[in-house]
Amino acid sequence: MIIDDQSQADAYDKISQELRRGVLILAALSQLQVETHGYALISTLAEHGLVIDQGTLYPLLRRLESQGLLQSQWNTAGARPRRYYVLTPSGVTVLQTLQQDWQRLTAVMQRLFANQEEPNHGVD
Amino acid sequence: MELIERYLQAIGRALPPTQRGDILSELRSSLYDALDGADQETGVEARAVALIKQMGPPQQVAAAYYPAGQYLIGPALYPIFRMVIGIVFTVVIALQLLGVSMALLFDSSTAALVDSTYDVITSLTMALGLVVLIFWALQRLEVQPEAATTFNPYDLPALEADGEAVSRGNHIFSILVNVVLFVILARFAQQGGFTWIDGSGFFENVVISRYLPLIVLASLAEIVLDIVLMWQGRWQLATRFANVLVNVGSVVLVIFLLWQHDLWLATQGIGGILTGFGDIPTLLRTQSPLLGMVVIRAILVFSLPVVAVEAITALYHYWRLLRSR
Repeated sequence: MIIDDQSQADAYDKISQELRRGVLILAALSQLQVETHGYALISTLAEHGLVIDQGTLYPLLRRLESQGLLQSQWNTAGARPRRYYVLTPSGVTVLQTLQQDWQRLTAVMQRLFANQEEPNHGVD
Repeated sequence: MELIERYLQAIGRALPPTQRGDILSELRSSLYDALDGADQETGVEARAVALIKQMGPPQQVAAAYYPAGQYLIGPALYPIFRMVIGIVFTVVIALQLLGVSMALLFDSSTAALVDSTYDVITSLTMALGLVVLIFWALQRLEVQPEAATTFNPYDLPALEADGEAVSRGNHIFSILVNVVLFVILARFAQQGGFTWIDGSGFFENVVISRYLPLIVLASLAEIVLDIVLMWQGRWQLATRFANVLVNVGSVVLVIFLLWQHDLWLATQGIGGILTGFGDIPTLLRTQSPLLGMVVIRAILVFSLPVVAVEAITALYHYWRLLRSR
């Protein structure tokens, strides 16, 4: 379906952004079980179809670090200095719990969408 | 690459100073990585422009590093800020109007009026500005109101059976009327009687002189109640009761003053309330000093039904609220 009304498009943009915001955290955490620098993370996510710009990712990584889910360190060995991030033990636990939440949520959503396709389901 | 450095510099200006260096180093490294990784067929400048456009304006990038948002006064403090601003605004305006009215009694020239208006504006600006500064400091110190951190549903205020919203316009009008009354009484206290507006004639009123503190007290009580009501925004049982006291007090005071006028005028050979009205044209023609007593008595006669109706209305509202509990 194509949205051609401007106000609908604006509403869609806002909701889509909110939807992505939560997903991005989970996506980033899922790829940080090994030490990775920001740009490599952007590239990995993009390869899997999730585009995230630098202005969004780096503040997000810092927020997760301040919450104790990530730890980071500078590596100056390469061509240019890079900051590498990795999950803390607490981050690993949170990621596992979030993954379970995600599975439950997607299952719920699939049931809800199926119910939406059959509006008379369960009604006499 | 100058454009990238200019972009980083602009972002840095909007970043928290403590983290500026670290954030900029990371962004610089990542931007140059992205520049290297972009389509090499286009020129380096075109790639940098595309990259910067994709990231967005520097202020927007920097703002993302403030997790709690960049608020002068944040959502947690805002309801309290609004309440405090309301109280400060009402109190300052009421006090200033009172002060200005008193000042104009002694000097009513245009220059004095301009000065007084200027004083009202500056004191209001200063008071409201101070409140904003205090809340800005609280926001910077990340002070959270108690309710935002520990919330207990049982602490919610009890249901107001009446819950009637206060009409602010009525109370502002009431404050203004009382301020005018203050001005008249202050002039009376200063001169010991009434004069015409142009200052001619002098009509003494011994009853008003004798009971001036009582009248001022009644008027003050009404102003205080008006301010409290405007602050609370809704009627409560306590304010309904206070309203009854103030209004019944006004009725008693008006009846008492009428009685005192009658007693005094009787000693001067002027008849009762109804016959006394007939004497007014003669007294006016002769500019008799008794005019002060007779006219004030007439004003009191006309104001008695008004205050009585207000007192009955106040009693009715109080009774209705009491019954609904």
